[in-house]
Amino acid sequence: MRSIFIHSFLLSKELRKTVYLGSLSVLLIIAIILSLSTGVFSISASEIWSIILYKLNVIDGTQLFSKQQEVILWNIRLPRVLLAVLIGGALGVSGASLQGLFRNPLVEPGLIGVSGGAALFAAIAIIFGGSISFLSSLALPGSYFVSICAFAGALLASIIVFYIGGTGSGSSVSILILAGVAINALCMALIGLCIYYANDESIRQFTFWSLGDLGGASWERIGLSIPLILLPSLALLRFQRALNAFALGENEAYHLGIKVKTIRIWIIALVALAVGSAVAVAGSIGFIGLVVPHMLRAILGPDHSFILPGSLLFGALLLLLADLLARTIVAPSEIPIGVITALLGAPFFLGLLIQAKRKNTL
Amino acid sequence: MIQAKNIHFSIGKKTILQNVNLTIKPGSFTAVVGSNGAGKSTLLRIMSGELTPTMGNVFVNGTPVQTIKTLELAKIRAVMNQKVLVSLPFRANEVVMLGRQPHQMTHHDNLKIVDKVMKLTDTFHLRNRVYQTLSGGEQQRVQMARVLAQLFDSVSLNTFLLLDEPTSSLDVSCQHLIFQIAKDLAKSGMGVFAIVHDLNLASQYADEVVLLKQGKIYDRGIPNEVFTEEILTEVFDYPIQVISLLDEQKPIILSRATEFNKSLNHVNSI
Repeated sequence: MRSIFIHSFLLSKELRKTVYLGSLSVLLIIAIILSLSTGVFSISASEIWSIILYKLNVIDGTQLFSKQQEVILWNIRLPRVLLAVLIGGALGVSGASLQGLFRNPLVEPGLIGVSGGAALFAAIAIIFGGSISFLSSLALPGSYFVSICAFAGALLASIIVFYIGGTGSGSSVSILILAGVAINALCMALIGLCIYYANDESIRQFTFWSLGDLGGASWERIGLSIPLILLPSLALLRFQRALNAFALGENEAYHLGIKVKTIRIWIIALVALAVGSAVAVAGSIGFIGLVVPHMLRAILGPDHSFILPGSLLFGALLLLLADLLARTIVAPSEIPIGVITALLGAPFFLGLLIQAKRKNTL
Repeated sequence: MIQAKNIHFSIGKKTILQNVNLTIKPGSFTAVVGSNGAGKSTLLRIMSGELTPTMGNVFVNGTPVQTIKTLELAKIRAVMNQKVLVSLPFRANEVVMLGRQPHQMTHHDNLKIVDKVMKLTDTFHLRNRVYQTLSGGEQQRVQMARVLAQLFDSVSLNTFLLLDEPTSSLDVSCQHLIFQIAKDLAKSGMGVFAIVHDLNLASQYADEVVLLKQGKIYDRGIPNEVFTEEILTEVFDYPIQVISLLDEQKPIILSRATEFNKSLNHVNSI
């Protein structure tokens, strides 16, 4: 597939990049419009446009749409769609960066401990939050409280993983991966312990949290997500060339002029920030970070100057479509988005593996 | 030049290198020989700046290597290791293109250089193959092309090529191809430093050979002088014969199966 796309017409690299990333962007915009208009109340593309222009004070066209449409689009759908785009993009580009950094195609963002740490702290917050007096005296709204705890847990776990495995040189990549596995296992065990003491209501609440939910989107959360999710995701795009060199191994990358240790620290810190914030806002959403880079590599090849920006756009696109499914299949109720991403992602990923096994190109 | 001064290197209590002084001179091909575990690869990693010695220092054109920016270093010295595993399915020409990373040049110019070095290493016909599907010898030639690409536009007095057993998986003709390229580069002014297992290749191509034994430099000099039966037998702990043909300056080194092998006898007795 790749040979047909890339080598039969010898476009220059820059032109190819523009074509591929451009078409992904177009698809993403189409998906955004589709998501905004689809739901229990349908809103047409022109109505969407009018509402956005009206809200930005460009036009004064209250007769072009109903008040109800305005409220649904502006207060519910638009923040949710933006959040899906931000989080999907962050998961995609983080997965691609870590797979490149660790030279391992099985790595996903959760491996550096973020998901496990976030889940543990969220479990503690949900299950014991009400009974810890000084925490409840902070008078935070419940969902914010869980988010803040999850964020702290994500950062703490990734700092521990990085402290054990990320400093020093040599074979630290495998140590880092193993440290991540161990921390995740520890978090899971402690979550189990929390659940043992929990009542049915908080178990249910935690289960839904752990399956991911974009329903809590609000403009306030978008405002927080831009510095915490979008900026680190965009910053990861700077490491395209370095990650290509990493494919040869850390020593070879060093000989090619890459500051291996500095870049390792930056990538892990940025991923921890982006994914930690994403998990804090929307719970843990699996599979996007693992599958997206693989899907793109199957089409575009391994060059990170395609894969990193491509994963950002494609991750956003996939999560947006998954969320569209999650909230329309059983409307007006919702299926947890983590269920959708894994249900669709896992079989597709297995298909990719079988194809890669045949072609020996994983 | 790259100068290693009073290099000591130890891991824990184990001393790997002891009081090693070595200079890679521009325009000269230096080969390091020695038995397994003599510290050859460690020495090369120290010379390249990858490892910091326990004591002593390495100077590149007079500047301590640890104070040179990684990127600046990459513009003047390239390193090829024995076996390079590429983790992603890059094509051969993409792997070679990675050698151009330290340089600011247009993609078009870089493509030309990639084509040239791939023709030079006889890998041009493999350019669109996925690296992982190549044989060990083909991969090694592609890596050679990559390090050549890294130094390509700066074949001047002050660039250095460090090779760790560059021909370990190559057949006879490819071995000579790679060593001839290295020799030509040295002639054109590059400083070439190679770990060589095949004593005959070292003998025929190197300007200077350094014999390493148990972390110390045992002897050094032009191949004619140091490749003698006594020295080689001592360095490798194995009886070695040297034949000097009258019409040929370079000695030819032979080693035979020994009649009585103690260790094998020991195995049999178990």
